[in-house]
Amino acid sequence: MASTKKSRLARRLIAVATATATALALAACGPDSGGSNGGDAGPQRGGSATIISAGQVLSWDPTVTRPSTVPGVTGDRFVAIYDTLLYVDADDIVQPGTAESFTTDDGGATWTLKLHEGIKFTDGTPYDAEAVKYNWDRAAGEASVQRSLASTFTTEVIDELTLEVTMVGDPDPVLDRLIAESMWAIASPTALEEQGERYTEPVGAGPFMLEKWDQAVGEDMVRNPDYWQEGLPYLDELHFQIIADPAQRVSTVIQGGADLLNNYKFALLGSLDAPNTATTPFLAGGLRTYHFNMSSEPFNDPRAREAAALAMDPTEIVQAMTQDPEEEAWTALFPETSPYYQDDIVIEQNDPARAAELVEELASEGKDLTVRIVMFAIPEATRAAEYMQIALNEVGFNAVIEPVQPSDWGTQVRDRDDFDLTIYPGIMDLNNGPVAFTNFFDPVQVISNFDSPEMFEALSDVRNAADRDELIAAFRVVQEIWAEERPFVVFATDERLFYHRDTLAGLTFMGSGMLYNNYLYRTDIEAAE
Amino acid sequence: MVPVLKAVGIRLAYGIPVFLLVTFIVGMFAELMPGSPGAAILGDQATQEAVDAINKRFGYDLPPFERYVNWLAGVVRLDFGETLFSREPVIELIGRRLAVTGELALLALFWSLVVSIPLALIAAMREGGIFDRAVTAISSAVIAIPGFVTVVILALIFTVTLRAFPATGWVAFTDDPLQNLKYAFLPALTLALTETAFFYRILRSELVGTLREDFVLVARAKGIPVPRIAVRHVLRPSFTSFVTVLGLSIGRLLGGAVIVEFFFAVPGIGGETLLAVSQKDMGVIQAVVALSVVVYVVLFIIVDLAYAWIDPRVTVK
Repeated sequence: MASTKKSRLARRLIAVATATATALALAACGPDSGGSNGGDAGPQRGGSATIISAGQVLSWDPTVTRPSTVPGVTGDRFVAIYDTLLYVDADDIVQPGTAESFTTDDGGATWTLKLHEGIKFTDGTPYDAEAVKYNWDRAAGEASVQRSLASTFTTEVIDELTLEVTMVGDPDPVLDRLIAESMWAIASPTALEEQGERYTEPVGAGPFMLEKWDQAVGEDMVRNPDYWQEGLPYLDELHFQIIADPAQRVSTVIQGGADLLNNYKFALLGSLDAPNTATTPFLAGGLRTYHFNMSSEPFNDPRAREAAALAMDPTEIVQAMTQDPEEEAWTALFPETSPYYQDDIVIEQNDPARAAELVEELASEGKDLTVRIVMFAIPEATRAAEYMQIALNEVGFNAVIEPVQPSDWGTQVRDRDDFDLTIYPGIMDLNNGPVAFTNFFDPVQVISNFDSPEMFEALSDVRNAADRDELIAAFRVVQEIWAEERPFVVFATDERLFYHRDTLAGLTFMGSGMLYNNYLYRTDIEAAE
Repeated sequence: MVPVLKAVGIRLAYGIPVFLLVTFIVGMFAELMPGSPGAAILGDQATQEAVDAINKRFGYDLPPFERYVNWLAGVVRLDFGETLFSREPVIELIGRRLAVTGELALLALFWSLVVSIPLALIAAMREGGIFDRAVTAISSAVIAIPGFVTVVILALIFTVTLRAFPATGWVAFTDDPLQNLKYAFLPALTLALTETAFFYRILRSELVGTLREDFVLVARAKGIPVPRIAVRHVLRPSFTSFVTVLGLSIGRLLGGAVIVEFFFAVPGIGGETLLAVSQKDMGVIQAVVALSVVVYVVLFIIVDLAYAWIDPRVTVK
């Protein structure tokens, strides 16, 4: 019970902390930061667009599929079908979507949800307080992916458009943010009831309706003629195409077979100047990291963690990973633009001589110096791991590489702690703070098995900070503990790009980089009558 | 006719233990895969309680042997169950994927035969000549190049440089036959290349041997032109080994060309199998394995019967 409470508290702390921490990093991503499109005469109705996705929708049931807010995965499709009840905008502010407001007057003990009037699901049933209650009650079910959040509150319908939310335990001042990040998809209760376990024809109140779905191929969607936002969406059709091979995704956009994909910048370096294509960056401000297993030898010893960090050059790691000789390392926990960035707090890296001394010391004490580097079996991670292996072996470790399938990484690393060092797959998105910080500092989820009461207390101080100065001071303590303990090491930042045909415009994103696909339009069609 | 039917029946009966053994082994080995459907759905941050609840929801909490027996009982009724997440009947899904893979296999096979048989005939008739040496060298190179390299080279030529064919995707034949052929061209060509090289080498070798037989010498002594001898008298007796290779090739193509389907985003059996493995969707994995066993058993029966047709001295027992 205590650990559950602690975990819940941690989640709230993390949410508050990161909400404020990310604002500056995201300031560049305004809601109109769409791509540059030659000859763009403004939004036009009609046409279609195809978005390339890397992953499949496993289920349209929001209690089965966690609608990821990472662009290009499932969230984009869920937004198209369900719209968003609440969302986090590009300025990192929680905004109402189909909700008119979601407010609290008592510090998060109770919340009041008010819905826009007149919204209907595409099956004609009302999108009202009863519908939201039905979805959230389902979400609290035992086998729901949303259970951890949905079970923290109860709901009561006040009137057709008003739902009162009461926290079961402690007040939650950031419930709106948590809802906006993971429980924003509301499905038609009628459709859920009728279709039961075989929920293959999703019904929402989003800008598009699902016409055809093949899990391995993608989705064909058509415009919802009764969409609640008048005049939207601009496109008549929206398609999602699943292409597993990264190079073929790019080729397909270059060739015109699809209109849009998102990827890390380094993955697109060779294609940026292809004709009839454009790029639109969004500053995720993510961090690339590697993590030590602090629960077993050799990295249960702080000297081993220090030695490993000193053995490796972060610039070499990121350049091996991206194959971009221009790529520079980044080693701090916050971006330079953040008010919480402290230039004197970094984990020292790239001092092989000192690393060799530490390793010799460990060896003389009979420590096991075998380092199993567990990483995704993907080319960029393999290249980085190969560099790490060489660098670690040069100072006296005995490093071996163990590639695992992406689907098995979590089981091996998180569930079984079966690793010594692992490269975090993907990047830690600062604009997805609650998830990212939970990964690092929540005792339940942390990769490194880093369970530090001092860190927990420091995050409490972050939460309770009365003003910006206190917040900066609290975050300084967080960074000091991180640099002292070294549960993980930051070696680079990264940014993602939308890579698209230059005839696609209206690329407007939420805080996570997910697209508002109702604003997408084509510049190569005639204006509607 | 009766001996043939009896032979087919016996071979089918032999296929049953093979079917049981293979599907059982695959089912048990799949249990050794890390993770579970619950973990696949919930991601790497889920608690064990939530994963267990999802597994229970999808009936994945039963012991492996009990699940296998349930699956087998369903197979007897031609009920392969439902897919793990989309809850679609597995048999419908496999049928849809098989239509795509089957079309690619047929196209690849057709092109391979159309190209390899004439090439083998010409090369065998001019054994040791420049043509023979050149084609043999090319076929060796094609066989030596791995499939994952072939797909990249062909994509580079036909999609990036010439922009003649779509880089990825699929249009069903029933939706638009012309577009369907356009989308099928590159995947089928990739598959056909290797098969063509294999067919060419096997058939050429057989033809060279047959052309040295006495009856060919007699035919030539009679003044029958060599091309006519080759087509009318040499080709058929040279098909014995070729038919075996052909049978294996069909099985391989229908089993799903994973690399080709993955690369060109073709929704065939290969891609579906990859997806099913990543999702731990045992219903689909077992169905694909069952399909493979059935395909191979049937193909071997056809190959055995073909031997008798090719060589009247062979009798089917």
